[in-house]
Amino acid sequence: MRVQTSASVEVVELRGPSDRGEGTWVLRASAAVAMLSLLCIARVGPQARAAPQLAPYQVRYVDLAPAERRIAAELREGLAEAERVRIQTGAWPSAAALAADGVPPFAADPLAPGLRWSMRREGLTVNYLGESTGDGPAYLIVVQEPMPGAGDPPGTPPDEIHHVLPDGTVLHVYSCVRDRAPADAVVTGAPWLTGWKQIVVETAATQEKHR
Amino acid sequence: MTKLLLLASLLMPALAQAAPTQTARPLPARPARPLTIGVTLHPYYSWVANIIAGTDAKVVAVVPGDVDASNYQPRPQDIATLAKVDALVINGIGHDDFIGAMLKASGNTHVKVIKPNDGTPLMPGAHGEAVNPHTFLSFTNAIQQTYAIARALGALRPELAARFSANAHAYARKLRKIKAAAAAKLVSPRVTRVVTVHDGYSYLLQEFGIELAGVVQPAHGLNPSAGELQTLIDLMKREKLRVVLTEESFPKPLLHTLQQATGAKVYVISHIATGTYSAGEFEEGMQHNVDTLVRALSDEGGE
Repeated sequence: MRVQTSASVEVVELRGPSDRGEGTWVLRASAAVAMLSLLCIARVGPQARAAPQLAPYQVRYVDLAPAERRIAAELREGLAEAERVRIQTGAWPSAAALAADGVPPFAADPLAPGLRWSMRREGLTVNYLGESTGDGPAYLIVVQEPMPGAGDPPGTPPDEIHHVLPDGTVLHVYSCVRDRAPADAVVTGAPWLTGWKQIVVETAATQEKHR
Repeated sequence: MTKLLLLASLLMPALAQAAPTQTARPLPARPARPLTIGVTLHPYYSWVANIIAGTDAKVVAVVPGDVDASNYQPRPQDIATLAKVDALVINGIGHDDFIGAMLKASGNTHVKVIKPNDGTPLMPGAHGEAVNPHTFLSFTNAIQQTYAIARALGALRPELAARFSANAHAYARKLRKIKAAAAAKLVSPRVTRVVTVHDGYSYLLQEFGIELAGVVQPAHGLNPSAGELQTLIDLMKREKLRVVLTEESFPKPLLHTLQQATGAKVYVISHIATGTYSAGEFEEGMQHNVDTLVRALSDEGGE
């Protein structure tokens, strides 16, 4: 408000913002902070970390029973060793050869004595099958070599399914589990069609991909 | 003499064609200096030292040996070390979060960062954390990660790739021997559920079919409050848990309280986080851990 007192002097009355006006600004600022916080939580919270939905034929590694999870971890160790031999010799080692070298899960396992391992091969597909002599679950590693002149393009990035050998060969690999092993022939590129569940593993790389 | 020189000059191209493998293929470019690999954690030092054994590559630790990486404050000399490495092996999932800023500060833009956890199945922490970063405390993880590191180093030095792979295989066999011997002694243990002081042993316990029933520390390096300790004591009494796996650094008075209240026996294991870096440190630490596990689960000894 301005008050004219004389021709030369102007008196200006200074007034603070009204309580109502100040309150409105505080409310607006609080709402903005709350919205930003919600956005941040939504960005880095459980949803951002959550793995993609599973298909009916998939099972998460962390959801397996502890004894199954132990074997599932060893499947990866066994596969790493089999791949090492494949890289060196060009051929996949038998389950017996891996067992003789003490490689889990193929080697005699005092904590899972009922598992019997075998390697089956048909064309470009290799299976490592662990059958239980009792009622325990069965395990399977499926490896598919590419058809000559076909397969994934060069430069395909490695991930849980695509294993890239040093010569550029891209393998397709699945680790699976099911209640009991059927007396099937060699399981090919779609193990879930014969009742197997693909074990889905969360690694640092898959977590990074999901972010 | 002139005739001889003339004959030689005429024969040289023919000789060169007759031995194309010796002259036509360019020699592989020799690296200017040996490969230097930095590591953030003690187990990685042992793994890399075993992979590069017998080559001119060398491994250097970024963190001083007597400091647990979880309590580490970067020092200028460590950043200087980082500036000189060609490759760097990191945990990358919570056990060496300091490394990103250090790497940036070092100005090292050519370094190849190797993340062995990129191919390791992760498990959640005991207190609801998304990830337990102690994947290295496991035989099967150690073997797979050693292979992953060997492959990555082989890609940097293709002329050494076969040697790295063979060394990794030899190391894997050593680790498997320790694990298999322990597993044979743990077929029917008297104890199958344990409490640990530190949440670093889920991966190791899983390998021997042992259940982790509780963890004393609410977070890495933090001591429990009186309320948290009481909750654990109640759990141990209710579930009749008789074995606690502790570490040297955990305060004795808290442990004493736990023992007195529950009657549990205490055994000391290690997450191989401090000490003198060496090629054998991981093997020795894990041997000690499984020996202790065998005693603890057989209900022998303990304090």
